[in-house]
Amino acid sequence: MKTWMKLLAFLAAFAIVVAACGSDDDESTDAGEDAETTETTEATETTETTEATEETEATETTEGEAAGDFTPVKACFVTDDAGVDDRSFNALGWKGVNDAVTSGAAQPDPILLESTSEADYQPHVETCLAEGAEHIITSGFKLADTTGQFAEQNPDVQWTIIDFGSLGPNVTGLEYQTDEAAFAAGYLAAGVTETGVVAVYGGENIPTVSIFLDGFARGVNHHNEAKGTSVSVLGWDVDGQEGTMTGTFNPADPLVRATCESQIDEGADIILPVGGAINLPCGTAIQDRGIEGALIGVDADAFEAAPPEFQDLWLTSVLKGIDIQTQRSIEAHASGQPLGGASFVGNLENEAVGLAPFHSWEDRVSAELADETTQVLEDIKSGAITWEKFAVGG
Amino acid sequence: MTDATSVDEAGATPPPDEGTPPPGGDQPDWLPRITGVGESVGRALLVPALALVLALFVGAIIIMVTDVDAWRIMGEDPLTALGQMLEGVGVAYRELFFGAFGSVRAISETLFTATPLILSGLAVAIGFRAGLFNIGARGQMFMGGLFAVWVALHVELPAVLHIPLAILASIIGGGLWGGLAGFLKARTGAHEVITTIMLNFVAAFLVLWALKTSVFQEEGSNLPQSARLAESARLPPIFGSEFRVSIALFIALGAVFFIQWLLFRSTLGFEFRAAGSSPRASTYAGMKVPLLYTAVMFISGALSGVAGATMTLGLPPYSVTSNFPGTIGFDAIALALLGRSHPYGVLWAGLLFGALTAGGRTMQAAAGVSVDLVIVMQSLIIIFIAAPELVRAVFRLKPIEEGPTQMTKGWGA
Repeated sequence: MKTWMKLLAFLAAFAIVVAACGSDDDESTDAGEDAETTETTEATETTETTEATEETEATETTEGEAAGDFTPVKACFVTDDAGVDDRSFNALGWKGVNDAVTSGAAQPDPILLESTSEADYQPHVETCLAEGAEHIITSGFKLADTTGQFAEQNPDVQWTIIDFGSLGPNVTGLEYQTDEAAFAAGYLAAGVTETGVVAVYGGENIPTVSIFLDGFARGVNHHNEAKGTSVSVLGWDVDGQEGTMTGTFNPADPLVRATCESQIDEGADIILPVGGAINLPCGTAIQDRGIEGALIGVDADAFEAAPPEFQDLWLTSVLKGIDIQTQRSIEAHASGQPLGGASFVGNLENEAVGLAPFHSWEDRVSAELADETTQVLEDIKSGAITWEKFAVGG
Repeated sequence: MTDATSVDEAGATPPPDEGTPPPGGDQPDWLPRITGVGESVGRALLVPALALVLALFVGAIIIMVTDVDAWRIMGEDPLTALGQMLEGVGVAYRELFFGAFGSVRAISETLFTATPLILSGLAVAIGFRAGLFNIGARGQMFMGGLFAVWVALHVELPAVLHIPLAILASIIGGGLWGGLAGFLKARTGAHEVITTIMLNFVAAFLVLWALKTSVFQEEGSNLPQSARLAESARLPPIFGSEFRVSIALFIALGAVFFIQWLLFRSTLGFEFRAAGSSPRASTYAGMKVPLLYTAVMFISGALSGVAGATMTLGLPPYSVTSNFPGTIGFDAIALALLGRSHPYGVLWAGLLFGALTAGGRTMQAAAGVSVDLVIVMQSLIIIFIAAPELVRAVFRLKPIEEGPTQMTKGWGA
């Protein structure tokens, strides 16, 4: 009995603490968020290669010493229902916000609001506004309607939307012509494959996923035309714009691994899975079967972002600089010249998309093929190689 | 359970003509303990309330041990660190409370979030009453929502007719999807747990596909997202367009009273409950149990379907994407357990979960505590309810007296 009296007393003590706590919210933005921040940063500490070559004013300031030019803004980040640990655009966007904190463009302790369903979007955006956010970053096309509506009602607030076009004079849209880099990855894969079969699959047939698949497939075809090879691509039909989709972005779903295994069964040895962490079960499948295969990462350099046990598997990654552009958008705002009203389309030219180093596959890519791939990248930039690019934006 | 029952369960499926007991036997006798069927009112309230207290307590410990900043100074100054942890708990729970009840907006959000939870919770609860585990609320929400969206997009009517028609469509969509599982059980003995789970996937992919077709998609868009729903089909908000709580709340409340009446005041409800207690006894009493299974699954699916309609017709900005049921379909199972399979219990459980979800959003923003904590607490509540012995041991309660619960035990017991 005594123990439970103590327990009750403890509970009563809690109640008093709860009641006694004043309104000092801001100080105690703490545990959960910090933990997540660390995790995310860890997961996506990448794309430095791209960053290093940036030549924009804002980035120079970042890399320079002082943050004196910035008036730090209060930032608020709203994820879509995939959550912040998606190893994809949400994670990268949140990293960008934290990079902006580091560079002094955003105030410390930015607000992170993770959505678990579509019903969360509006209250989260309202919470951002209620908390006095000056720059609200919404992540993903699913938030477009909500963003457009609230951006119009709150013209004094700056907005950045990831993977969607600008929605008003105070909204910066971040879009990516990732098929340019995926094209080069396809060319590379076609040169590396031993079986003559490469494959792609996606989470859902939505533009931000399909654009990778489309570019990759076209890159393989380009290799076939240029070198007279006959490498086949599983999982994407360029003419029909349809492909193999798992229907889920949840790596734990058995369907994800099954999709990858069926492609291995058909002889694929280089696979590009697009959609957060749905490439990891495929890595396990390749390891379990002991085949000489490789994966191509997306968004961040998977060699650094993915768990270390998969390090031998990454041929390269198709980089998509969401973190950099998010950071830059906040920095532009903090330096008094918000980018609002325009859509930023990242491509090879402005280096917001690119191809990661080969890392552990360095030895298995011939110098000739590496040079050719670099040349393909250059040719796409210069327009010497061109095709009907995938339409970005909603 | 006697051997006779087990043999019956394992045996070949009898032909499902009248007078023959449907496949599957009576309920196992642990089931009523968890679903709360046949419980006295006092006990039905006590255990969930104590489970909530325990879950808040464990949640507080989780907030404390995950306070990274406090752990950093724990070595040098344990007292300050502990104080900081307690303060963190205080701030988090205060924000949780104010986020749920602290303003008109907060109350609106609590009610808005509770609405589909109540409806789908009722769906699972009525299944429990008839001895059926409907795990398919998610799929039935998908189908109900899809049917409602079709009506919203392709029928032109004034709002007074358009909204009822869209709701009716969701009843049919969800009802058919649930009824299908009931029919399969009645006809072939396919267990409803398996079929409803599988039908969830079918419905999810069907919606994903449908949203990419021109029937639902906005012209010129290639996103899996429906066009904006006609204004006349949108559920009107109660407190003005600034707040999201809509007349869907009244639909949910109406459903609570209707199901209460249906279960405990109507002949059909009596037959549902009888079939739930003992299908074989019901058969001998002249009830058509296979038909009852199909009917109860239809009603269950219809309730979920309406929940799906509230998440499409009632969710600004009224453009539907591929995951509109969110986690509601599964939360519904937890709700039915928490509400002890009683319509009023589900109502309170729905309001509680609505408050936790709405408050959790504010807690996430103002106290920086991950929204995952709310999910952990909801899960803890269910674990404590599923283990009433544990709650009773913690609070030194007297063991329950057997008696009126006797009828819910199978004949074989």
